[in-house]
Amino acid sequence: MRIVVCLKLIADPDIIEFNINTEELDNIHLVLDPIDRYALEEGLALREKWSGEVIAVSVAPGAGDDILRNALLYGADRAIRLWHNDLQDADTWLVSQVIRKGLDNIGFDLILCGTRSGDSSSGLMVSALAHRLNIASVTGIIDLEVGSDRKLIVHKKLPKGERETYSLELPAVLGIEEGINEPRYVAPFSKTFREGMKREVEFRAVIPGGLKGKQLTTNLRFTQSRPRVKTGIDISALSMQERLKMMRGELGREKEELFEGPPEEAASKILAVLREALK
Amino acid sequence: MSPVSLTYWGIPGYAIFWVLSLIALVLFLLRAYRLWRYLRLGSGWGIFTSLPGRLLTALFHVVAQWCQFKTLSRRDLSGLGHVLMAWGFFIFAVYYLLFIIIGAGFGIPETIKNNSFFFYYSWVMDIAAPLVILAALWGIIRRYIIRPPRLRGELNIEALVILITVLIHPVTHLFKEATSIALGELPVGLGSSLPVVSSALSNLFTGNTLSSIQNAGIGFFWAHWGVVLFVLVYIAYSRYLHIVAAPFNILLSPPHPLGALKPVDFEATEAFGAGSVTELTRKQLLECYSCVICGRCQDACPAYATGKTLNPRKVVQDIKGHLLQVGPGLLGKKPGGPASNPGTALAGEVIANDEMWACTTCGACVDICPVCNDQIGMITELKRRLVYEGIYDNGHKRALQRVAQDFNPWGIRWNNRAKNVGIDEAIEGEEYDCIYWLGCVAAFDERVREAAQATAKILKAAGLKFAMLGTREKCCGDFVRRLGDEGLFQGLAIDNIKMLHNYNFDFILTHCPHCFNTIKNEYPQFGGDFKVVHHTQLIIDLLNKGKIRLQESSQKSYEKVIYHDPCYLARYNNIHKEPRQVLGKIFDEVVEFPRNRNNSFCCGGGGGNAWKEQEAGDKMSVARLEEAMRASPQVLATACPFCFLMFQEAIQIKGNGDGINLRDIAEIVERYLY
Repeated sequence: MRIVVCLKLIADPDIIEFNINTEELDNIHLVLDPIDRYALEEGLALREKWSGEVIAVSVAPGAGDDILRNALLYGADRAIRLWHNDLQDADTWLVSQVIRKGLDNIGFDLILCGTRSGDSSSGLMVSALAHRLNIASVTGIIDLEVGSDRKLIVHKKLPKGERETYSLELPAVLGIEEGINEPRYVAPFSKTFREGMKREVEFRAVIPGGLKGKQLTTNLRFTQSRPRVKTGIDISALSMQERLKMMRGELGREKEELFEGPPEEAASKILAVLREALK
Repeated sequence: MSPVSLTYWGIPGYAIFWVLSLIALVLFLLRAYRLWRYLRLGSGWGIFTSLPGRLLTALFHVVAQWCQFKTLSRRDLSGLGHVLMAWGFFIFAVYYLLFIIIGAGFGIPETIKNNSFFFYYSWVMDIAAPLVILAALWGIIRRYIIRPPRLRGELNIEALVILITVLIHPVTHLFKEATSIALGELPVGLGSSLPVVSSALSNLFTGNTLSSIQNAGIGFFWAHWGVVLFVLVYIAYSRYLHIVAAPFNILLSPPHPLGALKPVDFEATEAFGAGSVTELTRKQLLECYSCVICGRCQDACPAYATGKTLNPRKVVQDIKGHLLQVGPGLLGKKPGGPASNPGTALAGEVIANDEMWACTTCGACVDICPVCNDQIGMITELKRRLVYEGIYDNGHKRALQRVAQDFNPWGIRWNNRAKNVGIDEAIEGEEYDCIYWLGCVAAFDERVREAAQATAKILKAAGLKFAMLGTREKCCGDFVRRLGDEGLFQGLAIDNIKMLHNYNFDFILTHCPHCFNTIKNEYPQFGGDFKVVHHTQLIIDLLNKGKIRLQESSQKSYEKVIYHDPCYLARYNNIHKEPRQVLGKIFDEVVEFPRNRNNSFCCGGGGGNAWKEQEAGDKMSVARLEEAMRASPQVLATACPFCFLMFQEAIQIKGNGDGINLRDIAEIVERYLY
């Protein structure tokens, strides 16, 4: 079995800061997308069941070597970086084509990705790859069972905690959800780490000009989230009566106004209020 | 007339004497040689410097019996028995050598005995023998009738055999002397007053015929020498071995075994830690030979006391047993080579994972060991091998993972370190009196942060220029190293040292005793030589120098305070006077735990076990809190954030802990600041 794990190099979302003065991003620490740690762990765990190899793949500039090297130290058998300078602002559609191209003469049985990335968070990569490669795909996987004969049973997490269970046949591309497993810890210079030290990150240049797929979207800018005005109420300052009102959802709401009269008259009154509000 | 010079059944006594003695010696040497070869299976002897100092230490431990006196307590007086036996043994050994081996063995008993030295030595022996008899009888009664808990699990026949031989020596000696006196042989006529006990015993023979007394004398001589030879052989086959091994073990022990762990050289070592006896050092194997199974470590171990599987005595004995078991096989092959497969893994099979993980590295076992064994060093080597193999306790693993990612064991993102502490961050190029090293607890825990802020107020009051390091400070690596993850530790240590070298300061003030120990004792291994001060040391210094003043003494607090000694302060770094001096200046009554100072009982948070998954037995923190509650203090003071956290939890578990207020010493001082 050959398991490909796609790793994304992102700016640490917890650490990054938006500089109001320069309107640029500060504190950029490039790290492995946290959700991909779960995908990598799932790949490594599946390899232990199946025997085979785990190949870590990343479309990233030179800095991506670090996360790929780490994947090797954590036990991946191979690590491949795909890149071309023209890919600087590539969108999901184009990157999926790069990955397809990169995997051309490698072959795979299963591709694992994080369901959505920690930076752009489009959640499209799994579907894009499935389309490119014409294989099965499921995203949001919170549990994975190995069935018999190249069959997998996957549990997909739905928004309110419901689950859907699918059966699918390999090859497939799966979007792994956070919390599906507990990523391993590999101590520096331990056995697995030493084995990983012996392997090198492979590099493949992929020229986007030669690809069939084109970029479909262009990222124009990044803006900070609008500062939220605190609308919360200090509960401790409320009287018991007010607390009851709050529990019924009556507190903090704007005054209700009832428009009475024949429909046409009422409608024009409402329209006048709306016009006033929109001024 | 010497019994050796007689003829028995046609065989000359000399032949019997020397043949028997040589057989015993050969049996002893054969076994000793075998044990020596097993010992040489180990990898190197370890660092060996400052010989004169070590020699003095060893002599002090052995000749002056400091090994016993250092652990003597009102609760446990058995060390006195050992002192009597040991001194008796030295006196007897000289007697055997001079008057039996040289005197009787070479047929010159009259020549060697007919002088005042023999006369005085007879007196010495006459005083020593009854004392040894008393000690041996006391030992037998204590061991097999009183049965103290310290000896639990080791009341086997071996100890009884040893005690009986110890008893027989002086008894047969006294009777042998008594017959000599009854027969009017030496030391009769050498001095005015004869040895009291032997001459009193000689009265038993009055009225007997001369030949029957002679026969009795011959019998006692041979019985006596027989026991001596038996003991010689038994030394090599039993825990008696400590007579030979322990002095060398103490000689090879570093001056103060606690403090720093031995670093791993990752370039020279492929698989770090010890997976088999061949990967332990020879010193560590010698420790196994030296162990006399006294059970002091078992008695001191907080893990054992609270029902965990760990027992330091068992760890040492299990490794010894394993060495003797696999030794022959290993010797058959090339020692140390890859072909020598010891069969069972030392870490994980001989010593179970749970045993190693239960160790809080409090150091009680190392501190109390009479033969200077370093059980923590041994356990750490085994833990290191588990880390190499990738085997972890889940709680430990997560803590290590968080440190690897965010440089703190809590898993809070590193950019939030020391947020809201309200201390200025250090600026490169500025001169500071001190850098305040917060440590991971004060940097992230809301409650302990208050203690750090109190320390900062004290520093301000003293007019010191200080700063903290904010997000540039990383976990010092104390518990990381103690869990065996040496690679992660060295990374942290090197990063921290490099970062600290960017600043100009006089000393580092640490809030946490664990950081204190690591930066002070372990960072020098990686080129970080800093002056490190713990906050209790600084506070007493500032008070003594008058840099800070407390409120008038008439306002001394009438509360009763109890002080818990953190292991890494008291036991590891001998800082126990300072906190007490500080508290004595503020409180009317400072009470003590029954186990205090070097004898302190761990809170359970050391060695990474604050993050360990739920384990068997009681919580150490609760056991310690209960101990405190018996003294019914109003304030429980400590100087370690980990002790603080563990007690906080214990107080929650015990309801409100009888209204005990938990305080860091810095908070107390800040409250009473003038």
